[in-house]
Amino acid sequence: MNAMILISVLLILMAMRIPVVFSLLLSCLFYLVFIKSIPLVILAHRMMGSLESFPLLALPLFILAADVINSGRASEEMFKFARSLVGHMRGAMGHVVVVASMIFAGISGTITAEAAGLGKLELPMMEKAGFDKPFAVGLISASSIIGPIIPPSVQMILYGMIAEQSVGRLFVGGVIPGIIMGVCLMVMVYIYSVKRNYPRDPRRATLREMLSALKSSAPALATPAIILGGIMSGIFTPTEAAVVAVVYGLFISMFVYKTLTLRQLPELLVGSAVMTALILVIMGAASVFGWVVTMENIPVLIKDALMSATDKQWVILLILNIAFLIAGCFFDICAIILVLTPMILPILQAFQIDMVHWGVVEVLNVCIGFLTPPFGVGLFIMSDMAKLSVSEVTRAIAPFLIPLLISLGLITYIPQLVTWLPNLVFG
Amino acid sequence: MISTLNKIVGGALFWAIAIIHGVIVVVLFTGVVTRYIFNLPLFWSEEICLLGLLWLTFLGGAILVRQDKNVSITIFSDMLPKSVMRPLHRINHVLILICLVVMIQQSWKLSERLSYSTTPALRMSEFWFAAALLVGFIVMLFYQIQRFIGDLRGRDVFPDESICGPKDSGEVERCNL
Repeated sequence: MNAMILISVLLILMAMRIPVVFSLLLSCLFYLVFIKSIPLVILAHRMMGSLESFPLLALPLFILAADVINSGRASEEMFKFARSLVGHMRGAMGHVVVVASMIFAGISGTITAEAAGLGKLELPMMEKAGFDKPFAVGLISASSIIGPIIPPSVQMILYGMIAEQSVGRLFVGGVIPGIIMGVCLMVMVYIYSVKRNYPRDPRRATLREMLSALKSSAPALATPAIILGGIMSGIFTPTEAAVVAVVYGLFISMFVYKTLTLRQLPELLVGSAVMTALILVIMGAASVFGWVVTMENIPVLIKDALMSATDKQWVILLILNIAFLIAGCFFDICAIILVLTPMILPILQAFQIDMVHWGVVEVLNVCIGFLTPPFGVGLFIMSDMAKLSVSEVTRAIAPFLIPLLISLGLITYIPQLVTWLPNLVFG
Repeated sequence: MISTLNKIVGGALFWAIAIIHGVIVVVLFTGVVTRYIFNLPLFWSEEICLLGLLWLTFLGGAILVRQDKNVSITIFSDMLPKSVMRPLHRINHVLILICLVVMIQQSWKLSERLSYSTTPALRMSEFWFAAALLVGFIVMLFYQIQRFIGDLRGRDVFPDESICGPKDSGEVERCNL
């Protein structure tokens, strides 16, 4: 009963448009005052305690690293390199967009950085290459989802904190699923390109051209190599990899591409800190809420309810996926991860679902919500960028949900796709 | 008078955040270098950085309140007619103000309690950790009150401020706090 009241209060407050962070705090306040009468200092104490965690430092640093590298010509150079690799295939530009997103995903940790950072560059190029706008918009949006799957990933850091899993393992676990998504999207591009006769570059890039594109993009391409290589070889923790990426990014943007000046540095530092705060204030408040939820035994209640309904792991995975997809249509990605993950931890344990496996599935799942109506933030970003109405963008994106959902199905039901690589690397 | 105060507080926030974030980068990077090259881990770097992260979060949170950029769910309230939305908006303001006052009070209590304990490496008073919440929530309250009054008078107090940092195009825009 108390559980119902608590969750209803939270939903009502959020529906009233009170910011998520204050909705969470107010519903906890309501609970502590009217239901349990527990000293309120717990609000501040839990909020502070949840943020005192070393792996969490990777978050502002990865956001800063992506901002620093984005301020240079890096994305342009990576786009050129991707073009020299796959430009000769049928529907060239489409494949280039997917490949560039996968490379860029190795630098940026946030989905909006991907969608907005690369999209601005890609959309006019695709149109010039003869693609119709809705197809281009759909593809760019769908490719941006690869961002949080291929490391680094803000969402996986958050999941790792909540589920107490190694961020390094989650990062490495995202590599193969990210590639699978890329391949699924490229197959889709190929099918459409044959059907609609989309153009390709007139000839394959020569080895010399490829090498020259590689050379000018190498400083930028080294960033994902440093991050992933450093983590996989065990040289760096994710947090250390993040700070190395920042310093390296500063070096190439200031001295190689020469697009960043010392004067702009404070703006970048503050901008990425504000982006971090946007996520971390919710994290602090969600941890208070999570504590209240556990006090009320809600996770166990949910687990018992599900266990009485089924004893099959595949059914549970299906139910969880559907529940998260629905949540993704309405709520913010990070808020879902922070609020819902603690509620399902006992279920994962009871059904022996690997926590790293589910982590990657959950992140991909909620990111698909980024593109689904009515609340998908991606729809609004894209509609603003492409100067199309939200309903046009929604229609443009709809077919691309198919390859994304296929990828989700694959990694949900073949856990080895996620767990094989981290087990190989970390033992 | 209030606009001068806003300028001062905005400027202070901006530089405090920039410096703290800069210090985190420098300290962590130095830690990596000393650990791998000189085999000397900086035993105090973790404490400094975690303290910095708390301050970043809550000072950054104050900028979010000022710019009204906190994540909120707009889908349901967008369906309501304007005549319902206006009074609802005022109720929201009051609820947020209550929340902030409670949080200030509780952060104060927490900082009092923690002022007796010190951190293991630097022997720094833990008061400074809780102080991040205290200061952050006070500045949030400062901005939220102005937003509320602005709303009652039917005008936006901080019009056309952009979130600092790089724009979509990759250009770095000046921050007009």
